[in-house]
Amino acid sequence: MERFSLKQVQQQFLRALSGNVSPIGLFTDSTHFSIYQNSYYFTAQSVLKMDFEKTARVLGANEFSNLVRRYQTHYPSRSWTLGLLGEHFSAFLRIDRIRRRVPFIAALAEWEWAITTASQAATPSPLKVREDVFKKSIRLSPAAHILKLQWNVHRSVAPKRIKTYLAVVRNQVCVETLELQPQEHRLLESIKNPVSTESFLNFVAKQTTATKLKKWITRWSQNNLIQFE
Amino acid sequence: MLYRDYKTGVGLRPKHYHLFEEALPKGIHWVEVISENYMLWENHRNDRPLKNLLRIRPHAPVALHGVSLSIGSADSLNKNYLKCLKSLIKDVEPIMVSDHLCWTGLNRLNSHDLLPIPYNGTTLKHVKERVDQVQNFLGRTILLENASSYVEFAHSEIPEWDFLVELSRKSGCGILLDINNVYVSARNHGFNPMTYLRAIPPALVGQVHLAGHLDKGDHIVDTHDRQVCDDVWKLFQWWVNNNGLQSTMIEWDSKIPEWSVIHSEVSKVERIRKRSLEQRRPNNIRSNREAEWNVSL
Repeated sequence: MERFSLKQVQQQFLRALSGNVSPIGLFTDSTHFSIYQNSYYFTAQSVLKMDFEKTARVLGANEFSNLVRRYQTHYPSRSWTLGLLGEHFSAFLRIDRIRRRVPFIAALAEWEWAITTASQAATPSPLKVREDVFKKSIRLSPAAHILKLQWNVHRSVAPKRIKTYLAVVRNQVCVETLELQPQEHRLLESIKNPVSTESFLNFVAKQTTATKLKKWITRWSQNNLIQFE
Repeated sequence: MLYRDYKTGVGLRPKHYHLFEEALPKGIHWVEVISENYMLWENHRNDRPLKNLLRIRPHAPVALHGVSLSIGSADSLNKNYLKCLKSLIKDVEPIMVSDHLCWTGLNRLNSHDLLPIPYNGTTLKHVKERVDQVQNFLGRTILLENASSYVEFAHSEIPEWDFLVELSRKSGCGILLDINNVYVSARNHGFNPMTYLRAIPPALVGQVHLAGHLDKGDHIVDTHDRQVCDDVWKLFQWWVNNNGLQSTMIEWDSKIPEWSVIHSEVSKVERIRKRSLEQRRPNNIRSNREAEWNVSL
């Protein structure tokens, strides 16, 4: 019998696992290897069904199950945590054939992934605005995601093709979705990475009125969308 | 190294969390949690599960049980994972830290399953070196659990039980003996579970797991979604009668039932432990044969 290294054995095992083919010469008896193959898909399917509950419901059990198989072939898990399994799901839906039948499916998945990741973020601390805030940086909270979608998927199960700007944010107890003005979305987009608070406020002041600015800053801080650091 | 008997424990699952908030339920002396569910990792730092765990930690000894160490992989160890685990250990101060004798992925591809390894001298050396690295990095001994399996490698040269014992002796890691997994693999591969149990020196065992499985007739699937079967109870009884008492827990991972169902399983563990203690009194010694597990495969 040919002697394989551990790496070769494991490479063959993984190929058979993900390719859904029978491994040759690896086992004394491969009758029950399908238990591993089934588990590989079943684990992904149950995790993705939880992370993309609405997407799964729109597609139905069979379609979703087949989609997960295609997704796993394109994007096999590269992390030890199941929490990142859905990280490329909406990107995949943008290129998969399913988009022709359900054109809003990628937008729906993108919104759901924002909700999932916001819920996994650290508990945001309540925002305290002190005098030294102008010496600090302002940034979008790590517990917040801003989205620009082509469909208003957050409104209904039969969404309309409308440009939609959203913020998905985790507060102390739950995850909320807020509708944003396009300009508001643009400003929040500009603080995905920390920027000086003073320069940001100067920049915003040039873009809008003082009343609007006050209204937005109040709304962002009340909803934990921003933080100072 | 002799491991302390923490008595009877249970896998702590969110459904039953509220029962553990003030004190441990009757008959429960410690809990085991899945390490990965509490680890804070890059970009995903949801600290609520950990905060909940730390709230019960003052009155509940906690064992950390991992599923992603991938100690048997040909890949290098995942430093990021180990750092997250070390940080969790610092926060929780667990009574035990364990994972499985298996691999989960290669070339950074992850199967999220506990996959078997070929049992031979080369693999033993490889896994031993990795256990050394892990224990040195964590600064503590780990326990490795025998995983249930559905295939055997053509490249295996030694039985799993000998591999596990040798690994434990050479690396100093303890054994987490899952008696259900012994039974599942025995049925799937056609060996006698007693051969496995007899080969394991009790001094190397830091913890015992018991769980339920799905019997499909010609094979068994390790599902952890039901009660422990009679044959596994008999094996456990033989184990404690002949090897003494070790920290033992009921593992129930899916289709989590009402607490009363799990508590009834825990009570069975308690009864077997108690009976074994009584039998060990000097005026009550009887032949091991009498208590021998006698179900034929």
